[in-house]
Amino acid sequence: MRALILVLLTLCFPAAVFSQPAQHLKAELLSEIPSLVPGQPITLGIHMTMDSGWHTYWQNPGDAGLATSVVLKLPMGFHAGKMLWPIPQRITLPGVTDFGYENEAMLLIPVTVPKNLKLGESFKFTAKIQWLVCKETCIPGEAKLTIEIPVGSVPVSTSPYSLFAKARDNLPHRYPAGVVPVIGTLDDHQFQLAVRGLPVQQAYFFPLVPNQIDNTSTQALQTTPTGFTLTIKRSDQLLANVQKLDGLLVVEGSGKRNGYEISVPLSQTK
Amino acid sequence: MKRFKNGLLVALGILFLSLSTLAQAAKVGEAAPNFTGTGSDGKTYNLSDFKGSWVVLEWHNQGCPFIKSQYKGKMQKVQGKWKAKGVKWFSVISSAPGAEGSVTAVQANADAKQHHAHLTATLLDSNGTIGHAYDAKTTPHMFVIDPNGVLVYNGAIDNAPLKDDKVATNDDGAAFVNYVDQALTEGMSGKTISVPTTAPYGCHVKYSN
Repeated sequence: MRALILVLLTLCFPAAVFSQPAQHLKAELLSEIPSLVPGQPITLGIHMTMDSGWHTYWQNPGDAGLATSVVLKLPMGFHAGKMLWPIPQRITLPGVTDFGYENEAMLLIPVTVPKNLKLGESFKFTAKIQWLVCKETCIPGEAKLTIEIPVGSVPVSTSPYSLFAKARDNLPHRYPAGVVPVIGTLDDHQFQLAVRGLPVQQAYFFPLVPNQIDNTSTQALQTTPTGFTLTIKRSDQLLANVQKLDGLLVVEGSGKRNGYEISVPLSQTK
Repeated sequence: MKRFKNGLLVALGILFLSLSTLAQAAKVGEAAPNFTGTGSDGKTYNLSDFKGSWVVLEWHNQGCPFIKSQYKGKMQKVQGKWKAKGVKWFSVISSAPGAEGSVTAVQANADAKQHHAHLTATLLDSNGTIGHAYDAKTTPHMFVIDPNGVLVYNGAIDNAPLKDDKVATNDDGAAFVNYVDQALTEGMSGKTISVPTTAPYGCHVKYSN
C-alpha cells in the first residue's frame, strides 16, 4: 500500500520540472517518465511555447534567423543520442522564407541510462538552451534548465505523457527506416526529385544544408504514373555542384502531414 | 506624334531597364547589380562611380540584435581596418517605412556617429530597390565587390552569430572567421577568395509587402 501511494505521488509530480519564462517564449525541460529504471533509456524533451505570431527555428533556419541550440550536461554514465527535431513549417515573410515553428516546439533527446543505479538515488540533468524568437523583430534568449529524476521502479509503459506522444507523432520518419525511393538530378538551374509511391496533395523539400536551394521559390509538384516529381530552384549561392541532397521531404495527403528524412545522390544533367 | 514616340521610347526604355534589373541577380563571379542610392548625407551614390575600388555592402537595421551585437565593436573594427586601405563601405537600410530599422537621414547619421561606424555612406533604401537587386535577406547580409565591379563575396559577416569581439572559436568549436575580412585580405593580395559564399544569418530584412 505504501509503495502504491509513493508511486501515485510520483505520478502526480511527474518530474522536478524547471522552466524559465523569457520574452515571448517559455522553455521547459521535461522527462517522458517520472523515474529512472536501471538500463532503460529515457527521453528528455525541450518544450518551447511561443506567444502568438512568434516563431523559433529549425536546424536549418532558412533565409534568416538562427537554429535553436541545446547543450546537455548529463550525470556520469548517461549518454545522449542525436536530438530529434519536429517537422518544421515554412514561414514566409516579404522576400525571405524561414524554416521553423510557430506556437510551440518540442525537441526530443533520447538518453541511455546505466544499469548500476540504486533506489534512493536521484540524478540531475541540465540543458543550456539558446534560441532566437522572431515576429516583426527578433529577440535572442537563453535558459539553463535543470531536472532531477529519482531512481524508481515505475515501468516505462505506464506513463504515456501526452506532450511526448504528440511530439513523436510530429517527428519525421527517420532515414533509412522511413526510406522513400527518390531519384535526384541537378543542373545549372534546378534540382529535381522523382519520388515513387507516395500519394500526395502537397509536397515540400526542406534542405538540411543552407544555400543549396532557393528557399523562397515555389517547388513545382507534378504527379506521375508512379508517384510525383518536385522541381526546386537552385540557390544562386550554390557555386559548385553538390553530390547529394539531404533534408526532409514533407508530404501532405489524406489530411496527414508526414516527413521523411532523405539523402539523395544526385546525377548531374545539362 | 514625335512627342508620343519619344514617350513610348522612354516607356520602353523603363520597361527594359526594370526587366533587366529583375533578370540580374547578385551572383558571385558576375557583375554586381548597379544601383543609384541616396545617402543619409544627402548625396547620390552610383556603384559604377566606384570602379577601381573595393566596395562592401552591409545590410543594416539598428533594431536587430545581430546588428547590435556586431556594433559592440566587431563591425567597426573591420570597417576601420579596410576603410583605411581605401575600401568603400556602405551600410544599406532596406526597412520599409514604419518597420523595424526604418530611420530618417538624421537618425541614420546619429546612429553611425554614436557607434563610431567607419562608413563611406549609409544608403536609405526604404522601397527595397537595392535590397531586392542583391536579394539581401538578413541584417547583416554582406557583399564584397572587386575593383572591376564583380561580386566576389555574398553571405554572412562571420561564423559566430551573437558572439562578442573576443571569441577565438564559435559555438561549433571552429576557429573564428570574419568572411568579409578574409575575402578582402585574399582579394587584395591577388589570391582566389577561398570562401565566396556562406549562408547569411540574422534578422530578416524588413521589406514592405
